[in-house]
Amino acid sequence: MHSPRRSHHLFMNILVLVKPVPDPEREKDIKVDVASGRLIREGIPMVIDPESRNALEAALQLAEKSGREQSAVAVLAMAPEQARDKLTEALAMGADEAYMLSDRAFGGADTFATSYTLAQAVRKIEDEKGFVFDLVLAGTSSSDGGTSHVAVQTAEWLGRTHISNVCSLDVNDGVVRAVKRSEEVMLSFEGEEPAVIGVTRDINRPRFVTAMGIIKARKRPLTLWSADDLEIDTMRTGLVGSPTRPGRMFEPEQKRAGETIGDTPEEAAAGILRIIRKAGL
Amino acid sequence: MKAENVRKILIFDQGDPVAIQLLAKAEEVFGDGPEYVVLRARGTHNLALTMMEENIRGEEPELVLIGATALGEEIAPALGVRFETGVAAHCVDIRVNEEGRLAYVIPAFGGRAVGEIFIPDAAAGRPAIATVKPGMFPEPADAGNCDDYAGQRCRIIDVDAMAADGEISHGSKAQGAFRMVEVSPREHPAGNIADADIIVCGGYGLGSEEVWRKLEKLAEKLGGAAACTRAALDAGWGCAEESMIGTSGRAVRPKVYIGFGISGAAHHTCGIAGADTIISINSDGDAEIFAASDYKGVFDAEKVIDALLREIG
Amino acid sequence: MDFNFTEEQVMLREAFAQFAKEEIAPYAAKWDEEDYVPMEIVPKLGEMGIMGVFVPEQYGGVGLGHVERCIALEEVARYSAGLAMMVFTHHLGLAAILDYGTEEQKQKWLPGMCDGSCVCGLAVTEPGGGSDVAGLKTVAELEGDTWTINGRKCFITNSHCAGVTVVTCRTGEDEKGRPLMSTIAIEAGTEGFKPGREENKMGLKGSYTGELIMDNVKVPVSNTVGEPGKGMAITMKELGEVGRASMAAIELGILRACLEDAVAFAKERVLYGKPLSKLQAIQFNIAEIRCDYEASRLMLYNAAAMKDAGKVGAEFSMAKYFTSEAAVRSARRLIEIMGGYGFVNEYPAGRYLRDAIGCVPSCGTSEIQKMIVAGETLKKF
Repeated sequence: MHSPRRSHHLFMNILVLVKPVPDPEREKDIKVDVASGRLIREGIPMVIDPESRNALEAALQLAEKSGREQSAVAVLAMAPEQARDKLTEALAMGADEAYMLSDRAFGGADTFATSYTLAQAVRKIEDEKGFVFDLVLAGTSSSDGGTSHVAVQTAEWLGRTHISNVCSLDVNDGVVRAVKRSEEVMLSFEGEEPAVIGVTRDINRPRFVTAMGIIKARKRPLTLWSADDLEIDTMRTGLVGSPTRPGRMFEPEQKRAGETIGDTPEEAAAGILRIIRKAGL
Repeated sequence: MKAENVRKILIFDQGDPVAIQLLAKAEEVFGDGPEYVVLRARGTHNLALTMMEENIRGEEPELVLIGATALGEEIAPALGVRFETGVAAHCVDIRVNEEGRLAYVIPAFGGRAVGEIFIPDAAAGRPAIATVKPGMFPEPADAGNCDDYAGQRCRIIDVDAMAADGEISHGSKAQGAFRMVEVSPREHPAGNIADADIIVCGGYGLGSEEVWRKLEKLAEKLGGAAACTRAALDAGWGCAEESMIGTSGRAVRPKVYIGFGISGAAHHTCGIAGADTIISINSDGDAEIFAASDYKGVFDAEKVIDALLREIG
Repeated sequence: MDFNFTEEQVMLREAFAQFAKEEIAPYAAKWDEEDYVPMEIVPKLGEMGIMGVFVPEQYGGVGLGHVERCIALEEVARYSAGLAMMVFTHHLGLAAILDYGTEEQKQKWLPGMCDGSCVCGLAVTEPGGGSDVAGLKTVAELEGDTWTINGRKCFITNSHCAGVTVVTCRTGEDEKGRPLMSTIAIEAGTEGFKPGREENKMGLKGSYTGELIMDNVKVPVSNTVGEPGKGMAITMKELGEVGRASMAAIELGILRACLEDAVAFAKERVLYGKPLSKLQAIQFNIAEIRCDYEASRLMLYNAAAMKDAGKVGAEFSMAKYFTSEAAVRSARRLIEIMGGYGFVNEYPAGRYLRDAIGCVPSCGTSEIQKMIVAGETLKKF
């Protein structure tokens, strides 16, 4: 159950789960087709989800602190093949290698099926390399689904500790320290065991992709796996493996009167105070 | 899963008022039929996941409701894998559709769209799990004393009491194999905007830290709480993360909500839908927020804030 | 024929665009208003690979070509044409050293120029004339192993911040009495070499433009860039291929700014109860800006691709002439689309116009370009 403590080496092997998503800056262009109840997101370019970038940046910083030459940062994504350039971008940001899981069988997966698939891939990568990743990092919450499930669920499949909402991450002499933000308090945890950590947006500011990074990415491996390449029960992947099933989508209804509150800022101020008094406050 | 098949509902009470909101909502949707069980683990968060798992196996509910707090957001998906069941995250509504099936309404793309999802194979002992943000559902008028659920028809599993009596061992505080080494209070604990009757919220249209500071002063003078949108938070004017209203932030239900310089991006409006009265001030006459507001004023935010500060004195 | 960028070029453009959006866009208006040169951004430009994008890796560069160099300038100029002027002039001087310098010079200067610790400059224009390069009066006299340089240069970009400036000097006469030039590198701080007045420009703020004074400046003969006496050819080649290309790329960035801002404004501004974009006259304006942008884009990147493939003729002159005139037109169209808003300094349209006009006389006026194009056309057709 316990992996050996990493007292014999201080460098880190980290895997980052990255998610290609429609550009959140263009989210107002997303429309719902009322007739079919489906989302229309054609024409919206894909980007690496912002929190995934934070996770990758955190991994790169930990690797640099522990000794970049001996450390290794890999990225993993489950996405259609067209999103391949997002993984190249992750390599250009500084990851050493990338793995992409693409297969029709994976389509329509909810977080349960997605995390199952990702966990099998993590195991396969670890088997091939002959080690267990010190950390698996991910964004806590993605900008499209926003469930905050995948990091936790992937950890469950792997049987590892998970900590989400981590806003600060550091390593010293092989001991990882994670600060988790909850509503009332900040909780600091320390450990040496392999864990899955979900980071928040404010943990760091992700570095830019530079021209040199793009050149270096040319030589870094990007491996594509289909369902056949993983030891996987396809009944647990994709839509078929998803315990949640989607129904119709619609745009939220929020119609209110929109009555004008005054013709000048002073009138508006008076109107606001009137409303507050009327509410008994 | 058909609503009529729900015989038992388990609610997780971690000390946040959300548990009483979930209980009220469940009663509204299911009525007298099911048995309501509340697992209370307010001071024993590190045991929450283990206790929930044990009690789900013991109680075999068809539905589990968990508040989407930092803790809840970790417990719910973990249970989802352990019980091989679906988890509906951040529900904005839970309802029964025309066919009698239980549907969960969840946001996507930060609230730009909402969709219904189903958990068809949920059953006793393999419950559907739904998480809901605090403040999304209202508290019942007769909430009474939330502390011991006096007057509420539910059975309580008191993990806190069991732990105090030594019936279960706390163990060392930990998260999995990681040990907790420090707990420090936050500067602005989240309670601020959750309970406020008046919320004064600032968006990117405020334009500067100077105007944000004026807004904070206004909130204080009105006896309310200051809040912000994601965009204002990212601008770095000093608003606190826990005062951000939106799908990735908090949902609020004040009596009066006044927004300044907010355009009305869906993820924000989702968070204020529960307010009694929404007043919006924005210099852009076409701002989306006006369609979601009871009162609108097309003015420069700073001018109205200044006018209010002058009026109040 | 594939007129599209490669996947890698697309990624590069997006990387530069992201950098420009975060590090340049929020400040460009302020730099223009305060006439401020953001030297603090230069190391970041170095880190991004913008300063040395076309320099081989062995000298600290990225090892890409001139297409990529133009992409970088377009993205910088889209938000700040003034800053792009600093970058382009840096590339200009750097190119002279890269193309004609000795191995020793390249090892000495290029790495610092690529990482942003040393800004480069090129000085040709003089008070006596810009277009008349042959008539320049700065003189360098060789005595033993030392050049002594005397003269004045004006309208020199990076005058007040360059660490190394490549200066075109008159160094002799040929057998027919025609002047011979040499390009000589002078390091900042060399005795007798200093910037003079700094110009207060109408536009293209965000970079230094000023005088350079050479008063008995002594530099070793090893500072000669290329063969002595070949300075005219070196200067003309770099101005022609790197200078004009850069101006076209900068004007292209301005064009794109006009296009994007015109579309955004037309969609948002409501008049007669509907967005401006529904009005045909506005649509025509936007269509014209679009065509100007697309045509300019194709001309520039075609020329850059030709240079990367080994040989380019008057294509850069054509691109520069066309693009600069198009940018001025489009900036004016943008101002007209925006009405009153186009005229107030809260909006950048006026800055685009001032910047666009400033590019027209740089690296050869439109008249010079037309002379070059006519010369080639009359031979070729």
